[in-house]
Amino acid sequence: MKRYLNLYLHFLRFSFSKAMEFRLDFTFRIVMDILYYAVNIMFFKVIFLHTPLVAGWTQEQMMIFVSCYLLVDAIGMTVFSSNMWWLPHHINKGELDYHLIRPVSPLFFLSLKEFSANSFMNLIIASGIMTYALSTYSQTFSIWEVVLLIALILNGTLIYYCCQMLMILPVFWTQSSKGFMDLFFSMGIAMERPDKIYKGWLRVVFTILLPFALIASFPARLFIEKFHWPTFLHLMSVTIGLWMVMLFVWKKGLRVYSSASS
Amino acid sequence: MKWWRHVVAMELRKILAYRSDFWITFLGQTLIQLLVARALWQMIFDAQGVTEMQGFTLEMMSLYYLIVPIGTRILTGESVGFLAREIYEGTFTRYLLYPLSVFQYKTTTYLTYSMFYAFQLLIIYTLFRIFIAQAAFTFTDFGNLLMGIGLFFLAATTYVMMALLIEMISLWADNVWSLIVMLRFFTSFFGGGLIPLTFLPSWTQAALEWTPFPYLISLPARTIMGLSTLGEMGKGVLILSVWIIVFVEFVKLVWKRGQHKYTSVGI
Amino acid sequence: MIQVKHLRKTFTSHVKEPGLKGSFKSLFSREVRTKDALKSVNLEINPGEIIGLIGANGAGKTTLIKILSGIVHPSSGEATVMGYVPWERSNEYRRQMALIMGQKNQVWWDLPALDSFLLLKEIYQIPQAQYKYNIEFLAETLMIKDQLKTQVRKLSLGERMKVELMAALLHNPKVIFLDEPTIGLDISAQKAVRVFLRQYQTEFKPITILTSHYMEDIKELCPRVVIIKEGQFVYDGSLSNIQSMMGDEKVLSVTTQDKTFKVSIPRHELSSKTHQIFEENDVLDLNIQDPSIEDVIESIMRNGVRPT
Repeated sequence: MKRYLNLYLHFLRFSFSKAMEFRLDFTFRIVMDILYYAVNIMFFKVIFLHTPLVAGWTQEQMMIFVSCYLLVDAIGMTVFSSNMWWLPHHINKGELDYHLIRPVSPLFFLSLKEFSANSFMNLIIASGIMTYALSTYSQTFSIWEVVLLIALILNGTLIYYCCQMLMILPVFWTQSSKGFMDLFFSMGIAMERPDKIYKGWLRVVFTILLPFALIASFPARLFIEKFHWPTFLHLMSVTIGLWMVMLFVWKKGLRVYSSASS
Repeated sequence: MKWWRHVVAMELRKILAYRSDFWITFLGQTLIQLLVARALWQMIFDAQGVTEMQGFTLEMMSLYYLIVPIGTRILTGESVGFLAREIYEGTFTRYLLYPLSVFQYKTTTYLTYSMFYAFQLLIIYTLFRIFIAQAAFTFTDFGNLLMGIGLFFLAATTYVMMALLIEMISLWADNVWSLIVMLRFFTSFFGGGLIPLTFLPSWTQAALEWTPFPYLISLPARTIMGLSTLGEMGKGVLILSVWIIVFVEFVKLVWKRGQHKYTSVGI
Repeated sequence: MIQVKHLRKTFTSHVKEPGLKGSFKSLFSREVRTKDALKSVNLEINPGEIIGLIGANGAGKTTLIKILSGIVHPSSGEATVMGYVPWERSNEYRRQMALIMGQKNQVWWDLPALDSFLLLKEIYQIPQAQYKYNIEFLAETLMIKDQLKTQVRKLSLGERMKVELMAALLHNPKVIFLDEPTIGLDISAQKAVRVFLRQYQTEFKPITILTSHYMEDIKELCPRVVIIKEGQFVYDGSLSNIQSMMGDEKVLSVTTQDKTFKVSIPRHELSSKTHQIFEENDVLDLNIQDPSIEDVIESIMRNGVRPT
């Protein structure tokens, strides 16, 4: 465990020293992310021009939810995005070889080695939005509820990562993951809406099979509405299940890789 | 000059080479976007107890969100950042060697993708019209569809020029894909890709009137739905054409300088 | 100790007709083709031994190396390396093994080599003292001390290979797989790599399997060679024996007005064949030699082993 932590520190060091090289890019990215955040906030602001409640939430409650998914997105962007971008290329071109011969989990290595120091500002901005949303919230809440919220957002990031991996891993079989990746990004919209809007079979899909609604909406709901054990247990069991499915598919995929590579 | 026909055939072949991608992007994306949007608006309509908002019934709203994601893809054509990527990888030099204009070449590949998506739109539209929601089609017929697709192509041409203008910055800066993503966000929001433009406050709508944005997504989509008048369409065509000319001139200017910069550095 | 028994590997690949029509077709169905990369091979390598694996492109060299390093699963058969089954990829095995591929990089492109080494130290959990000693020793023997702080992408091809070698050997592997370590290098860099490998072999005595297209590499480093042809071993024995295998033959190099060619001829037919050549051609020059190792290997790769 400590060894993996040490390795991660190396990754961080590498990425920061690399990031210093592209400074203009750095600025562009910050502007891009601010624009992305602005668009998301404006979307709900515009809707609230026409209705006082969306899925049972007021505007200030909605802002807390929006800040939740923006934070998940920011963490995902910083920690996983570059890795997820390169992973299908590596698999496709047969470049996993060196990762397979090392005495370190290849999944760890391939998922985390590229830390996007460039996107680091995202984390700060997204945290700022969340702080703002919480500080202007008219209801009272305790510090522990905030701690739980943040823990659940981290859990949401894990779900986000697993979902993305499940969309990438078919590349072991299909040789191209462009379709699935595009699908993942368009499914991202499902995490950006309150889970209450999903009813019937659509609810089953987005809360169990492809649990995008669990990424930010469940954490926000547990914070805004009263803490609710069944919701919490649902969240936890789906997370564990998803993680196990992802590991299973990864192992199967490696097996395919190693019987097809030449 | 027949080279462009080969380019089109080559790009189509690339698109078709990956069969799972073909079906996944086609059905999956469209369906998910539609389902999520519909779920949201249904909730809003129900909570308000109304059957119409800003000129949209729930059925029309569904149709709008069916057209818009594919329309956006017609608009944005090929994936972002190709020029920037080629400059970074150093394969860009080949366009300096080919005896044809890099812009004609790139515009052709772009619009090939647009064609492909227009074809998808046609299929989805037909399926939807026959099997799912006839009610949404009260104002529209096949002629509207063709006019709308035509407008989407004009919009795509405008968009390509904007994208090229930005991509050329990569002759100076290392990495500009973030700028292109910004263009996407901007177009999506102010073009009506996220929410119909009639929902925006009226001062915003007024401010956008002479920019290309409302005519990139909203106008063609509304045309397909049979919601735009001939006057609106004519105005859109006129404004987009003026913008295309402006952008083309800019692209030429920047390219001249950028090319000089690129070749003189000698990468 | 490496033991390989009846190892087989079959690949399947999809076939697509060219053109747009083919693309449409492959949307719905695809044809599958299978190819045998290894057909039941057996091999035994003793501790400290270094062997050369020779074969044409696509003969199965790389497949064998990838199986033994655990990257590729075989279709059937057994293999153990120091008691480990490679494709189980246990950490203990991976800690004692190194793979160097001349055509693939493992050091980080954008970073100085020393940074990559630090990361590898962490990955392989190399103790500080051993790490320091190895850096010193390897950099010294490879004569690359001054380049370790430069970004790897700015190094020359030869320097890059040296850095790759260092990176792979930092953890003192007991088994080393070298897949064309000298490919693309100029003569002097090839030589430096060879000298280093020999020195390393005498110092640490790992089991080494080396593949190369350059006979020089094999001749200088490997007392024992295995020749592989279309997935089968056609020769496994000492390098010096190879020549005697064809001891019965002589090679004639003939130069005429318009061409130069070589023929190998059994010794007892030497005079009659030479006579014939003189009659049929306008010979300017003729030379009778024993076959060189290159000739023999080429002939084995083409025709298999002929009984003597």
